[in-house]
Amino acid sequence: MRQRKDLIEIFSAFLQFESDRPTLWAIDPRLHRGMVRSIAAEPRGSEDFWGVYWLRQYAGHPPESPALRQSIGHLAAYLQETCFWSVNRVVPRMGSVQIKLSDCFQVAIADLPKLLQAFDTSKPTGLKAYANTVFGNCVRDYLRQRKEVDVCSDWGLLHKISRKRLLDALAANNFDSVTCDRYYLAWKALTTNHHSEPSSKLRKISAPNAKTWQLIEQSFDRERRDFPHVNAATVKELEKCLLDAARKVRNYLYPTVNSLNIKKSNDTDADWVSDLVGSDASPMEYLEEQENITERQTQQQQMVAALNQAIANLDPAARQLLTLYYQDRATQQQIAQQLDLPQYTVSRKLSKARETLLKAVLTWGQTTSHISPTSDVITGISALLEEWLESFYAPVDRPPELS
Amino acid sequence: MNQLIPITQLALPIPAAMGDLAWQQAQVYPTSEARWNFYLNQIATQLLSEYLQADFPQIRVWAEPNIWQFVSGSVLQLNQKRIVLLPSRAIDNSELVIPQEWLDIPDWAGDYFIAVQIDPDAEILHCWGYLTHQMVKARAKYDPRDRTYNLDAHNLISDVSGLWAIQALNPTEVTQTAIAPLATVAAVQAENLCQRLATAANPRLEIPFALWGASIADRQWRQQLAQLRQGETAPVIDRTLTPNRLGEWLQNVFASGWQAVEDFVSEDGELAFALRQTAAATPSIRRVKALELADRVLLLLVSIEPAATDPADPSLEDRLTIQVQLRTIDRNSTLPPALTLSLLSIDDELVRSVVTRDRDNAIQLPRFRSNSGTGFKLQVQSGSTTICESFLV
Repeated sequence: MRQRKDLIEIFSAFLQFESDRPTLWAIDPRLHRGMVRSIAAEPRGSEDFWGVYWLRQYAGHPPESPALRQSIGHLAAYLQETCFWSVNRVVPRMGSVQIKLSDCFQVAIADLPKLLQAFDTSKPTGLKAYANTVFGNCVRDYLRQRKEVDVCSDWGLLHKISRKRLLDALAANNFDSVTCDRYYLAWKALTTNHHSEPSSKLRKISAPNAKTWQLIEQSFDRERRDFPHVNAATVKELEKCLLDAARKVRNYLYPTVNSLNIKKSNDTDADWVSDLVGSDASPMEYLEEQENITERQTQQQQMVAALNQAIANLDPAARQLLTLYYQDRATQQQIAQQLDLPQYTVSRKLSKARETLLKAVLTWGQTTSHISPTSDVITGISALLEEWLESFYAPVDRPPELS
Repeated sequence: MNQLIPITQLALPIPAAMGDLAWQQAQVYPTSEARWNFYLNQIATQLLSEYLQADFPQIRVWAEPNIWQFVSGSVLQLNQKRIVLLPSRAIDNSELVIPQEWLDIPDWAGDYFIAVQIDPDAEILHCWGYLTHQMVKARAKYDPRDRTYNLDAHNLISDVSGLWAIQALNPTEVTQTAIAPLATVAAVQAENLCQRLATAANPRLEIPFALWGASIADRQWRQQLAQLRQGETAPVIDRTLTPNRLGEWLQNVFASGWQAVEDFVSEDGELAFALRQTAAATPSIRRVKALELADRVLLLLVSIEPAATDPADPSLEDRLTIQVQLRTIDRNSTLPPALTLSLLSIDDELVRSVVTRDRDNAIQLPRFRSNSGTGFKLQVQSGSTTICESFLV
């Protein structure tokens, strides 16, 4: 994979995979035009500057507007490497042949709109670090669920999903709201009335028996009062609808990838061109941003000193664990074997070591910048710490096929 | 599976014996939903309180019997903060659903909320995110139909270790937004509500939230409602249905309510000392349970240790020596006069009993031995209240 250097490319090109390896960058012509215009308006902007700029554009436009879609597009392009490395760090730890890097990459990058929604845009410079953490967690979640889906019966699967997952799966199948409500009520009736007496195990739980079906039907009927548009259903109909729901949920986890790296057909070229933003970057904004960037760099240098100290203060065993985990990228299982410790102990000690470093950063923030250690700052600081640990422990040479 | 959980989050293995016991205990509840609530919350409180004890010995379980029949969620108390655990069996971690009770009832409201996934198949507990009361109020969508606050996973703080870091560095952080007080419910109305909800399918959604919240926060009212809903024939706290398995104590598995002696240390140093003195220096296992009488709470202390074996008689191999004590929760008060602590056989035959004298603050049964496979009961009787606990060696 070639690292992008050109600013226009960074904000308009997308990674393409061949045989599950990242091979080339494909330029999105609309984003390319947008970026050319923007740079013409503010030629001094750096990569950081434009990252923050598009984030502000994102925050300043209403949902569904073309300007918002355009800024998401630029940010998706901007975060391609972040996403790739974040996914790449998680996937090889799996050691599975069925799991494709490119699928995981698409799953992660498709998470971007939600990621941006939750991101605290008042601290725009933390975007890459935040995205790095979120992409990694997103892929972990995806892989965990895929494993589970493969071993669960239909009934077990229905028991092991959240309401939101069910509704998302139904929405992905373009169900109308009446059908969605009907499925939701059936699912709710099942999960609140069905269990297996002898054991709490769910994967292979058998279908409800006649008595349970009766309870499910009654419960469905009762709940229906709040949903007057949902018709009554017989046990047979409920069963059919639940099995269909299970199928939809199962398929939903094997997405026909609906990602930002594939152009959406309903976005016509025309409405983009007419609304293209990017020519309003003002000199004032640029100067303010420069100041922020310099200040952040100074802060980061100080934080690095504090972290180096904190790592030096760890006991040798904890340092060894961090090295194995971040540098050698060993799985917890491999570390456990190598050190002859139970895996649970490894996981606990690793968590503890990282928590110690998190505390060190929080304490540093409190003494140098008077930032109180509160829950509000955890997400940002934790993401910075993760990014730093990954680069601190980064192997000097990346494998040739990836660099 | 573990390696797919980031090290910033918490993954704990659920001991098979603990899971089985919780499921078995859950079977006393009539509905599937109540059983799941009991099972999930029981495991979450037990595992997490034990885990956190290492760093925060002052942590307590807010033990309120019966609430899981009505609503899911449980509370750990740490310093002045309430940490609400919200366990779920959903594997997708895509949303956190919080019943309104945990935000809007002043006495119940949490400072922190932890999303806990419990996987009964993989036997793993996974804390995947947390947030504060303020954050829930600012970020959640309220669903008036289910009376829940719903949060997209992205709105949680995914670094759960951040919560422990803050408890160590800034335990007084401001977490709650103002919570409006709930009106008090007149006694007559409370009684009527109780009768009305006795047969409702889902009592928490049956009446306006303000009324429900004010009523359910009242322990006695809740107890009464639970009793009415289960019918007179099945008393709510018939602990004799689920004997305490002392064999499991030896494997460090304890049913809910049985706390470590150390749990009482910070509240009353002298009490802890007295409890410690009770047991000999041998490696005994001691646990305390708070018993709720009509007007006070007393502590039942049970300590067990493997009895000396006799090579001539191998049948005595798994015998336990058991010591039982009952005492007041603080050293300045006394036990009620004429209170009886009895040891009964499994068929309710009286084996031994002790009665309080004037101004006793503790009484105890003489040590006894029990063979593996046999059962016994401990009964505390004071006035019209009788509490019974059964045990299996």
